[in-house]
Amino acid sequence: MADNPYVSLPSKAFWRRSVASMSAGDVDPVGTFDLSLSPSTKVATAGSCFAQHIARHLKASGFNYYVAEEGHPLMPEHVRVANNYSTFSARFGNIYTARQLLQLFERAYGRFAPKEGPWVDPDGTVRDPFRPTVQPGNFVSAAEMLVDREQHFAAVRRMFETLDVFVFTLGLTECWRARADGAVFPICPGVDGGAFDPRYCRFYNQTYVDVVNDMRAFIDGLKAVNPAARVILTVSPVPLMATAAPDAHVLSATTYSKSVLRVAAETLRLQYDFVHYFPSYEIITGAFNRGRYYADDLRNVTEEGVSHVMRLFLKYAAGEHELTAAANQPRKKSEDEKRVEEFAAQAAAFVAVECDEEKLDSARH
Amino acid sequence: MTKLLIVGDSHIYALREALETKPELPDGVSIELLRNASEKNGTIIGDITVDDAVKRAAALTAGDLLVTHYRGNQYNTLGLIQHPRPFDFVMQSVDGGKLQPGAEVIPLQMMRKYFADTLRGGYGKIMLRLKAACPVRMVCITPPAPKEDNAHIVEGAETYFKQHGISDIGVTPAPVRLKLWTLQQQALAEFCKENGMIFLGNPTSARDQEGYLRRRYYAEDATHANAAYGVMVLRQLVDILLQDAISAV
Repeated sequence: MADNPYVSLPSKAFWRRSVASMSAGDVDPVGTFDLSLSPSTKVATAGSCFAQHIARHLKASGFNYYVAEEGHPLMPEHVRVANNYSTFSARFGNIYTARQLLQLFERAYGRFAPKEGPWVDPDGTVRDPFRPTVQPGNFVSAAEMLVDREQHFAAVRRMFETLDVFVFTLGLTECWRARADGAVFPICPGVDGGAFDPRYCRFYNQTYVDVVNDMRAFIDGLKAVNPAARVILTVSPVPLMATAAPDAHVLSATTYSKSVLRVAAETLRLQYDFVHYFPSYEIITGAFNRGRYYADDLRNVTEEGVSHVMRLFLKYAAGEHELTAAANQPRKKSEDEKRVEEFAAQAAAFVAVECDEEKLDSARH
Repeated sequence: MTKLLIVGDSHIYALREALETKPELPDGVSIELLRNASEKNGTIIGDITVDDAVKRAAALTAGDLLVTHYRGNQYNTLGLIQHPRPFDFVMQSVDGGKLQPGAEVIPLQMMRKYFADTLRGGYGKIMLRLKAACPVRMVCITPPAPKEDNAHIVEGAETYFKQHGISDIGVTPAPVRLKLWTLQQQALAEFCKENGMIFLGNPTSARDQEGYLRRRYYAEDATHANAAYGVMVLRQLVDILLQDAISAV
């Protein structure tokens, strides 16, 4: 057989050997992934819906899932979770586009102040246009929303400045932006809060150049505030719910969006040695699984699919055994957490004593 | 003879002390006060178990009134002693939306839901059992408004604070405590509305212009009201009882 460059390539370079002949659960499409995480590495997450799965599994797998905005500990954890604290590393809700991520960064550092005011629902409650579903029941006033937003920005800055690894899941290219200043909304105004008015808001479908430029600006900004930060990019395998691209079919529009994002991710990986790509998109969408990683709606990802992604992530990002062992250990509480717990016990004990003294006092009568 | 059966936790002692002052009450009204029993260090403290309270409620007859006064200090458990991470929340109706400088702001809707859920999943269950058993109207009393004077609270709690090394922590600013109390009473009012119970707020004259408990109604400790306050609440209850009788006529 004549010598050629393919002869010496590993099995993963060949479709038949690494895809067609493998059982679905064994397919491993990771090319290069040389980022190592330890249980103490602070891993922050942001992105579209699929990123929520990543966050959830990171936590369960013994990684140090970094939450910079955990909510006030006066409220029990389950209450905070129900209010979208810790869904991501800060309470920013879903970040679908590169532009949205860049603008979040710029807004948090005071470099961009969109003109869009609060969205007021018919019942008088108020939404933040840039995270309109983050507060169940909405905010009670514009003043409360603005105070919460400032606290949120402080948490976002803390997150960017102190994280070790930032996992960002690119979701879409389609967005709605304000005509006045280009501010992009996570959801089209009028869909879930706000009101749609074409005089103030228009559709935009980001190009490859847009995405790469936005991500470069973000990454450069991140490195400026946190020189040691590393980045993992993934592309969400969740198809578009709907497209607003003129005359487009949602399937073709999905292919466009994901293709742009995938190429942008590769471009960034090649440009920056601290940017890594993890192929969760390929694991879920690959023909090898014959569509079984999608639920009946052909859109949501099944738990089996998410597990496949995270199994491989564990394999490459860390020693699997080390992290599994870490996951089985009770989480070590921080000094702050201990202080808050002690306080809660003391406060409850004090009030109990007050009430008991009432009882004792009554016994005297 | 019509009867007021009052069951509850520590705040009922203001009513018990009030009765001891022998206030003027209409003839033909009997009042019984029973403290919910709980176990502490192997000793049962209090007068009556929930099961027995349900039986007593079931035995009430036309014209009587069942009154509950449970968990009045829930809001104090959350916010009497200053939290290591000072907090506040926006409540326009209480103080015009002012916030404590430097405090972490908790979204109001989250706080509201917490109080509502804690009531429904906790002592509200006892109240529903009583309501289901009793054949007469049921009134739920809200706890007295908080005391504005932090110095009074610290003074009353000094020994405890010193014993537990928390003297330097201090007391939560009064406006925050007032908002917590408001949330608790709003949750109770909503629960009463949903379940056909009568919600009884503080006597109007018991609170000052800003909404705090007037000093003359302070008990010596940090959280409870005194006998004079109890007398006013008893009068509120008797009014409801008599209105009931008038309606029946």
